[in-house]
Amino acid sequence: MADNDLKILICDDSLLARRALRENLKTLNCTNIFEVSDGQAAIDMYKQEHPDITFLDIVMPVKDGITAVKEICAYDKDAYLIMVSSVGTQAHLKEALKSGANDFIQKPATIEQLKAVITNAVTK
Amino acid sequence: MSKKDLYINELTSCLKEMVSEDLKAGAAAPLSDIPGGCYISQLIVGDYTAFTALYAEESALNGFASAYAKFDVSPDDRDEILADFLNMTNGRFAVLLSNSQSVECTLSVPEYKPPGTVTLRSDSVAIPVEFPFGSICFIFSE
Repeated sequence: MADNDLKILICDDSLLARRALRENLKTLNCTNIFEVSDGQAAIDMYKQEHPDITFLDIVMPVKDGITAVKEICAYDKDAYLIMVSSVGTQAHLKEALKSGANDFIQKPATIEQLKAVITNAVTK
Repeated sequence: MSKKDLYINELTSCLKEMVSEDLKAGAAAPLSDIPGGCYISQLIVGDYTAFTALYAEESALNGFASAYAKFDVSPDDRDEILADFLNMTNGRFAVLLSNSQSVECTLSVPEYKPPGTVTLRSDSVAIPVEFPFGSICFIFSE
């Protein structure tokens, strides 16, 4: 699958974080991008669009990212989920992976990190 | 170094890296009340708990948001941008605590513009920071 065919969902309550992630993904030829700003909206959008990669913040209103990951995994065990958080501690990393996320990135996500995520998602 | 001093160091680093090198940070001083409707706050919670916030006049908040975002921020988006700065700063502080002191924390969802005058905890300090676009006051209490 070419990168530009990937369907990507970004879930973050920060406008700036969504914008930065979208712009970086565009430089990697990913343009099929959907955005939401809370965990419940991510679950709803996931069920509607079935994205290839979903990026989720942890701390969000309505429903946090960890809960959203658990619910998405329960709905689709093959979901490819990446947690992106400003709190990049080992404890958060473990919690994210335990909840079902495939990887964890501390904000701000770099182009190199995103490239690795896309490669892993395409080859999994 | 106390956690408060660690926080102030991290805040200053974040301001220089993410907003502007052109700043002058004043000394931390006790603060009891701030006007409502003009500030954004976020709690650090877990093994260690702290209250963080920023407030300023409208024009300074606009200037700060645009300097941080690196584009002209619309009034509708401003508070979300300001909350993002608090979130990034507090996230880096949480990582620092975890790595240096094995203290594990997370962050609450930022709160926007509570109405009315806000009375702060007695140990609250304000750290005034002067920028070309105005003065921003950062608040911290443990």
